[in-house]
Amino acid sequence: MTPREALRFIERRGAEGEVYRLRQRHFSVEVRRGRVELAEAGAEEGFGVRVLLGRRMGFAYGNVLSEQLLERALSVARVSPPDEHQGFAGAESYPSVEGLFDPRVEALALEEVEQRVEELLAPARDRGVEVSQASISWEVSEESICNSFGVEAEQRGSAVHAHLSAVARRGGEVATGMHFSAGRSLDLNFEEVGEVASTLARRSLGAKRLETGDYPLVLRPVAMAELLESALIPAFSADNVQRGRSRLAGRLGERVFGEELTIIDDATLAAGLESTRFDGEGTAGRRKLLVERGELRGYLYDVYTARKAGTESTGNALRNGFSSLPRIDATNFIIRGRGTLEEDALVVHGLIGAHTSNPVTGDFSVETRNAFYDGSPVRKAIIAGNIYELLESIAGFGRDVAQVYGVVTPSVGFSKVRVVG
Amino acid sequence: MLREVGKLLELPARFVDVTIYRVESTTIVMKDGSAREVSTGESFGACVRVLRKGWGFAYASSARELAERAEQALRGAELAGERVELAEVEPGRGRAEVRARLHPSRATLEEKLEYLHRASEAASGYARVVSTSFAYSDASVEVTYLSSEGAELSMRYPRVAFHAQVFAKEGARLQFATERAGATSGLEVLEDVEVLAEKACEKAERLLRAKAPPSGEFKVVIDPKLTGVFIHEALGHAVEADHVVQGESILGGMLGQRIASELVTVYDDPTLEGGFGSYFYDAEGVRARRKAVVEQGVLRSYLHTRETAARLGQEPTGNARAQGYSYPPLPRMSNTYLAQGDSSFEELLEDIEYGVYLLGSRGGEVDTARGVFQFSAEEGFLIERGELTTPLRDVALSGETLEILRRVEAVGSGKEVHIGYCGKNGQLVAVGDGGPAIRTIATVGGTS
Repeated sequence: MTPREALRFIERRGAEGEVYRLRQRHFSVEVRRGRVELAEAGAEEGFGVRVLLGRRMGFAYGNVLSEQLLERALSVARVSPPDEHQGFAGAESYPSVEGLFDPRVEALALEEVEQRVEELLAPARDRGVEVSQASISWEVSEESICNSFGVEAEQRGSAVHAHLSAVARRGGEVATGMHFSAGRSLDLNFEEVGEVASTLARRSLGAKRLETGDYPLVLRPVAMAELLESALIPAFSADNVQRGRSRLAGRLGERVFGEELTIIDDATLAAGLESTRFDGEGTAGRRKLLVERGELRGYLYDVYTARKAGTESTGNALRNGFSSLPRIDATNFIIRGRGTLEEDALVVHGLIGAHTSNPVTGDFSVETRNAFYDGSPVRKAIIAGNIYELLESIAGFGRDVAQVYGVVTPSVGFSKVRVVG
Repeated sequence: MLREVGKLLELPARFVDVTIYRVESTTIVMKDGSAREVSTGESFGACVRVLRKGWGFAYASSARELAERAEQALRGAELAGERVELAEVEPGRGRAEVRARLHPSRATLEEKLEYLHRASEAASGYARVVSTSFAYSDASVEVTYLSSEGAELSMRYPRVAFHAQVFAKEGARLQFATERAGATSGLEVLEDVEVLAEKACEKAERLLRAKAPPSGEFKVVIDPKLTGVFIHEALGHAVEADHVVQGESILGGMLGQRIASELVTVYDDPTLEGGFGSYFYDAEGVRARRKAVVEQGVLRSYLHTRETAARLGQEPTGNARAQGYSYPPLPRMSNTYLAQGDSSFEELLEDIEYGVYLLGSRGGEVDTARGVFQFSAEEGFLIERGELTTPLRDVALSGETLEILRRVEAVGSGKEVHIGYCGKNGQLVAVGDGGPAIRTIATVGGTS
């Protein structure tokens, strides 16, 4: 049955409905030990259906939109407790967002990717380092959503990813370097990915331990993104705010970070990896100021938390496939700031174990990956601190803005962090 | 679907295998006493691997689409830079099933909800606990595996898990704690949800009073949960044979060599009854078996797929695993644990002048090539003159594999294997991690 027919079926049962459909095609070429080893072609399609019976919400998913699937969602609703805040998005117009889809990505065949693999691998050869793993993958997705309140939306998107892990050896010493990049179009700079990973591995040979103590710190975009994803972004979720789980709760209008810092969540960023015309509930994607010169300006809402707070959804109910409910998350989480960067610091490219940071208190204690002090590689160093204190002590911003996962950030300098060498 | 997909075994390749998955699942999240997210569904899909020069891999959620993708994968398999070989195995045939006392497919949603109500009720007596989330999830999995060598397997098993996450507040201080349980079995493993909820609440309240840990190198005692994560991160990933083959394991070329204190014996055992990482046959149809990874400090085995076993000229170990039909198999851990020793808990502590005792896990990560790893504990205590004193929070450890394994000074008695989720190359699989409490020396990453 079609999504429209499914809605009518649900409505005849005295309920309201929402049908989400996702169809994806995915391709990848994987390199191991410096050579292509596996080529992958896949496709997936499925539906996630929510029904609202009175104020009871039910959800079911499946690969085929059938009466059985709808009955399943209805039976889930019957056992769910009534909740006055449950609801669906209403009809609205959607923004046009530039650069979400590149038809060249859809047309790319597996056997046409050899030249790009070569671009990715060549820098490692030139620098005399081994490639342990590398990959290029690309996908095209089509999403649609419609509900009983007039929401009817669809969009296509494309994405291209490249990654490379390099190993450099000298005597018995081993150093590693890893880099990745992703974008919406086929114009991704594959060579740069290989170059950065290889250079990091090469430059990290000869690493020495650092004395334990307090040091000025520079986090490169990858390290910044890893830390923010785990230690900070959850605090902006209205669900965490409303349930007393966020340090940012009750602080709207207050200065929460250093006044150099501005944070924007922007679903309409041109060619942004997390850009979307509408979210997983059919609410229009938009640009929101979260932090303005250190002052807290807003949180991220879905329909449920917005109804609870008496406000509007910010379009941050995101889907992670068709088989799970939409969840609040940032789209493109953009870090902006003033001031220039002093590189006379511990410069850290990536982190090991960033996901173990405390999402509530913001405390972190993580191992560094490709860290340099005074230009010399550091062998093993933990950096420990608190994200809220760290963002109070910003020393400057670089010009090297990059999108890493959902975070768009330059390198950021901080006046002091604890380093355990 | 089986008949249509089965035809793909005749594709023009040196080797073809086909795996069909059908998964039925239910997830319920109870937030602050109300079941706010209830979801259920069923998905099916299949994948096919073709080996020509290298691998082609295709997947889809319908037979027609799979045939189309398989054609593309066949052409892609010619891109390989080197011929891939497979270690020989006896093609598995037969059926295997985990028979659960309370199978999730036979329980009603109300019955599943009841576990969360019980947990929520148990947590309601804690004055400083301000917010709770309890999650129930189950999956009933049916896997069919066929290969051009004649393998024909069908496996059925349920998997259930319970997660508790509670937040406690006092003044401006906010802390959280978690507990979880799960198994490759039925709902019978969730009998103690109240106890888990209470443990989480007590822990969150304790953390409100806890201090930041010291920083530097210390003697540390870690509890069984953390021993599991330590073994998983410090040792387990480095013995996954793809890392060895790719030149990115610190333990490459060290089979038969002493890599750890002789108190260290580690098993990887997918046959552990009810283990969260248990299975009958791996994702290449190879019979699961227990193997010693390290025996009295000596490295005995890597964890292989058929490809890595052939590459290194070793026996396949049955460690090929995939998250689902849209992922190609990789060498992975199953249930990995440190074998027990004979020290009592008091003996682990007794001659420590100043050190740290660490409990519970918040996960970890490793760079296998350098052998540098990090993992994080939920809570801790200072050890002063053999006694537990000040409570600590947010304690992370890091170390270097070869150094820390040699420095294991004492291994406790008893063994617990806990549930875990392991991420690698974008694939998440269920694993078991465990062991007894141990004592070693590590870098503690505190802020003071």
